[in-house]
Amino acid sequence: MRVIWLMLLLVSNCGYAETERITTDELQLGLSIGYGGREVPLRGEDNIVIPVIAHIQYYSDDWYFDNFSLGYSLYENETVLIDLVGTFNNDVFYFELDGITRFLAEPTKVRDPIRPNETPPPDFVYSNSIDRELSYLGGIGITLPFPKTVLSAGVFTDVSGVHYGDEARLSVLQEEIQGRWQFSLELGATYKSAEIANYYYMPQLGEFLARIPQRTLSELTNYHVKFSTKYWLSEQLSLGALLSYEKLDNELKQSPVVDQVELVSGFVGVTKWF
Amino acid sequence: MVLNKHFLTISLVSFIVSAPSKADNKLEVTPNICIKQKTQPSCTLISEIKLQQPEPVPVCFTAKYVKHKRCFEPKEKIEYKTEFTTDASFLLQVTDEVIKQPVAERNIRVLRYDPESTKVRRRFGWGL
Repeated sequence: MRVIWLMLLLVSNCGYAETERITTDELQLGLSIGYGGREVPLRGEDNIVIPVIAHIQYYSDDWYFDNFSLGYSLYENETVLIDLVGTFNNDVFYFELDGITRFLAEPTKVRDPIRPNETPPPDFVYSNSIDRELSYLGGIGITLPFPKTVLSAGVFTDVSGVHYGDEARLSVLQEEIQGRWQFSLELGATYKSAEIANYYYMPQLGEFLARIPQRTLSELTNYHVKFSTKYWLSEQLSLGALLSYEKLDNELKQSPVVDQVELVSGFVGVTKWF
Repeated sequence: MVLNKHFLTISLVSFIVSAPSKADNKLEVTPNICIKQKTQPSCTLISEIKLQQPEPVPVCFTAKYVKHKRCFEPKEKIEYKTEFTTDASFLLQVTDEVIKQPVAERNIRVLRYDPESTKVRRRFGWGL
């Protein structure tokens, strides 16, 4: 297993601190193959099927790259880590990207147009394809590794000039290892400013082919809970399952392009680290 | 401490812990922690096992994961030494051979240790 589980012995009869650690100066590449999917909040869009998930990690003394986030360590000790962080805005995950249809995911269908002999639903609005640009966020991230628990928080702003919005994330990850089994439970909340909400979830000029009421979304707070389990067959190979539930802010119900604010995603498969 | 490159057995703190016993059986395993380096497939632990029983009954010590089984005639105090080679934590269980029920158990822990430089994983990346 490339990801090192350094288990620090605590002065306790019953507990061990288990913090996921990565060996520095080694490129860690992993591939999960299996079957998974993600619900999409956009009206008329089918769920995404995900057969493959890539894992890319590289940590040096100061810099790190971890699943498309780039970080520079500003301050680090055993109890607190403060980083400069660059990371993708993940709202774009639901949209088509230039030349790449949903990064690392396979769509079942791109759009789900109304068939000619069917009557459209009352709230159906004809539109052109809705495309959004990938945006990259930069900011400060804080990681607090407690025994068995990791608290992560970050405040970010758009540094790619796409929507000039801000985002804040807070998550608590609880981890447990029992023999070859590994379990984790994550609870999190994400704040997104109105600029992000309106860029990704409100129609842009020329997208809708009918007149729709003009409206502006306010800021969003989304919540998620994620459970994952792995069974390690060897140091490089594991079987795993992940189930995630995300509750988007009810404000998105005001958006004509959103038709659900509760999203479930999951994945079951085998992961190989190289 | 010099870390052997091959199977490494480190008796950390002599961590004598009384087992969650049933009917006042007291099980001690010393040491009960095995340290495995990243490059090693397993680690080896030589443990001293002691069982104190309120009444002498025949018992068996079993650890299925490492295929360990030792049985003893009725005695109030049982002591023996044994060697475990394992790649993961496992449970050592004591069974009363009369009632065929477990009467004590102890977890033998494997800790993975990598002396190389490591970093706490950050979680700002993209994923499901």
